[in-house]
Amino acid sequence: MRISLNLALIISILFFPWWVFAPIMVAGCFLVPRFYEVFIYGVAFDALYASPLGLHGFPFVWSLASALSLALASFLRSRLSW
Amino acid sequence: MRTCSYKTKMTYLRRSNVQAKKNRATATLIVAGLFGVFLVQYLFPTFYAGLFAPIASIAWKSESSVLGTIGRMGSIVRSKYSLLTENDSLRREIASRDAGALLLDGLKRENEELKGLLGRARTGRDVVGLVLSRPPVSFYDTLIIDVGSSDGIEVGDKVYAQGAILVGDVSETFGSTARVSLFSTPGRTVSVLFGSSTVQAEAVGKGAGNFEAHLPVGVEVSEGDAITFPHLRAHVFGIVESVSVDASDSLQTILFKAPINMHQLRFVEVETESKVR
Repeated sequence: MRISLNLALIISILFFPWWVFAPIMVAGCFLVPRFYEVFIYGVAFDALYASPLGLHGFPFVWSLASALSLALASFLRSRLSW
Repeated sequence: MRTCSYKTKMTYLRRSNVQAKKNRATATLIVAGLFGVFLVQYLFPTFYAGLFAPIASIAWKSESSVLGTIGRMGSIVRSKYSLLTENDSLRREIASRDAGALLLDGLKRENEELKGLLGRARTGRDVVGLVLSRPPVSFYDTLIIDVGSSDGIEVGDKVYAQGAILVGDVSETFGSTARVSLFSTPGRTVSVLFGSSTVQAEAVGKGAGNFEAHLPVGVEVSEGDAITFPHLRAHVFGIVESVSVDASDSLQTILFKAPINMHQLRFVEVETESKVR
């Protein structure tokens, strides 16, 4: 599961629209315990595509989104029977 | 009289602090790590890009060559009849456009000659680049092209589609690739000229080639008007799509878009040495 999600994330960053990457990223955070590598993918996404202008002046959207979804998933996982 | 009081003692298990401490240490470590990553990205914006771009460009280039091969194979398989029909219709279309194109070529030449006489001739050259990645793969309204600093591309060079549609400028260059920031990047402000009146106004990018601008109600702008950028080279920046006037407002809202679909861009031309207007 972990390896296939990692592969899916790498392929979606390079070749698929961002709205394919986003749900895989969130799903990975919830399905795989301690899915810390998602943060690297978030940073890679920003590094590859963001210009210094970013989106409305903010160029770290996916780094932040991956960190937040990781934190949220860890929080919920610890409080839910999975 | 003697009274007796019985006190009941409750015994609780002492909670171990070791696990909580461990969790707190892990969380602190993660937050510090995240902060470090953001700090590096903030202080050295090209550090991560320089790290990931060469690896990604290999994948992008192989993908475009694979797609090219598949496309060629597909065209071989296509029926002869459909090819003949398409060929005929294309011939007719070319014939109808020939006269207009000749006139346009003449006007372009005359324009360049006049600029040359006035000492404002173009000194740069155009470098054709293959678009490796475009929106919506790129969330930030950027393009990745297969020409970079080794081809003479510099930050700030203007980027055109189909030779005359100004779409963006180079924001970062790497060895064999460059990142182009489209003018329509959400939140990006560009100063543009409206129609033949050449009224100048600020337009805000809305993503995927769309823009919004506000002008006083008195200024005449109508649907289909061309938008240009204050730049020496003859070009088109956008076409007015809609003009809405609110009776209670002194400004009219103009929505315009680039005359090309950014999601379908395959090639672009980078005008080198275009920073001097």
